[in-house]
Amino acid sequence: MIFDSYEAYKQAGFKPKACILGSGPAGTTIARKLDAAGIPVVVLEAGSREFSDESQDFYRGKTVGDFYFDLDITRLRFMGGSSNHWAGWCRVLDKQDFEPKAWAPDTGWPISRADIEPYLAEVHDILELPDFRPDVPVSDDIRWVQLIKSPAVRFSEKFADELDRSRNIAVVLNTYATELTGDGKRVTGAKLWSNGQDAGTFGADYFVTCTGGLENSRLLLWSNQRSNGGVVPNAAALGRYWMEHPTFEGGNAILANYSEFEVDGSNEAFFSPTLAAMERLQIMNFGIRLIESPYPNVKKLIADLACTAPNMAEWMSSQLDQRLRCAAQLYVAWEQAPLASNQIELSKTDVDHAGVPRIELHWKKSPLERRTLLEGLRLFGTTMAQKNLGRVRIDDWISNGGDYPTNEETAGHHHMGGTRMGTDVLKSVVDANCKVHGMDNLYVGGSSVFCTSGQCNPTTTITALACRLGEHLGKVIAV
Amino acid sequence: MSIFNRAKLPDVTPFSPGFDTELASPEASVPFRNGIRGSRPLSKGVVMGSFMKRMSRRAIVQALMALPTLSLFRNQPAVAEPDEIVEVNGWILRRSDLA
Repeated sequence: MIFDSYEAYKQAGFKPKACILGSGPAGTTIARKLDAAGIPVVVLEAGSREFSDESQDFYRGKTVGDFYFDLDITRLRFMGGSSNHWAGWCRVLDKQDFEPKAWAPDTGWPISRADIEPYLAEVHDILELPDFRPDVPVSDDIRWVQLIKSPAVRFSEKFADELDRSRNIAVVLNTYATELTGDGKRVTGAKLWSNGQDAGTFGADYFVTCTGGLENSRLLLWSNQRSNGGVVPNAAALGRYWMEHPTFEGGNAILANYSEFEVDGSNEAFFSPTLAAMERLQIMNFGIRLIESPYPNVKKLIADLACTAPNMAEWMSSQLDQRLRCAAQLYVAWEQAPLASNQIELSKTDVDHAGVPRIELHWKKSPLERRTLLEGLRLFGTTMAQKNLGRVRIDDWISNGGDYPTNEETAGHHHMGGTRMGTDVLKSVVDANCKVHGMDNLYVGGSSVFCTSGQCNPTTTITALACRLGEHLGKVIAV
Repeated sequence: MSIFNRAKLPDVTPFSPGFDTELASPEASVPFRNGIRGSRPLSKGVVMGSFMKRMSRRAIVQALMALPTLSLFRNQPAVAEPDEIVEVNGWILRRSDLA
């Protein structure tokens, strides 16, 4: 069932066991899992069926530190959530991404990749993915990895009919849960705002916040402040360890055979380090993306190479005569070291139309990441030269320690951390089952539970974790 | 799906192959073999004289023509590891690429 207003929902007399906040990939997936388990669930969606400026305005905020996107354009507030502007790149976090890294504090998950692998077949159906091929070792240091460019499932479009037909799911649009109330053991309700005004308190046995990698922290910080710690009793890490995938153009490559690396018709290829290389260099994970260069840029690149290595440039030039596609731009995205100082705070001066403080995001890239960027490109370039697969040029701003450009991609719009998973209540917010520490009936879905970010796009892992949480909740509620 | 069975980039050697080939010819190397294996030591003048006599005129002319190019390498360290990876102007190259 889908209701366009909270008023319409109330008239239906639906009696849910669980309440999910947010209808993005995590919220929709968990609702479908509960539906399959025969458990009635309500999904409260703050936006409507379509994008609107009025709804997006609730997402405005401020960033302190490094340059970042405006917070109201880096996510979407309507049915289906940010899947509505998702590019569709898919890959599950690597096995090694779940492991602690001695050289990077506060890394490691309380679960392993094996814990989400049983759900990957389901994820492939949801995201319409073919099977992933195994990574291909290029050298002892570099793996040729696969990111699948999926059809970019818009969850609202794909599942709207199913949600509407379901007798166990009620999606309620235009209904904003402004805060949760709690007594330090249980969430007792959710305060709602609908049609431009307070709409009372909503009750359910279980609550799952799936409002996104920024908004989950905001909701819980505000709820905790209002309830004097009654919603997140162990709040030392709440809002902290927030992460992105910084992304910048890092250089160029001239390849012996560009098409050898292409997969999925995406004309792009991806490379990552091996665990041994990360350990040796003490760097984070990264992904180097090769994108074909326009022809004039190739000529310029070869001219530049001619100044340094004329014979090599001559050979490259002859290759260019035979096939126009032989050069690539290198984009690098990397794993951020989890830092408590990268955090979401509540603005002390600015509130949204419902009176909820807006987000103040504190975000800075660390020296370890800067080293990851430079050493990562060197690793890749060394492998290409040693294997005679091509030659790599690193951009000057990276080699010379210059500032990060502000006119580049900047980051992936991937919002991770803030309510991270863990066993230490001082450094995490939820446990291995995504349940908030110390609370009996409050769970968190989405990338805000990520302990570390790995190098790949998060939606595939988000969906797998949501399948796992949905199955777990189904068992808990059924007892 | 192996990525290794591909057309490789050329391995560029830093020295002229023609120059090396000429010095290694049997005709040019015979006197040195005699000097090493001979029953009595040969004086430097005898060796050089014998060497010059037994070299073809063509080989001598080619060696003389190649002499100016030797100066190009005079102040450069010997390239012991042509496969060594070097970073020059942002490029990550094999040392042998720098020829």
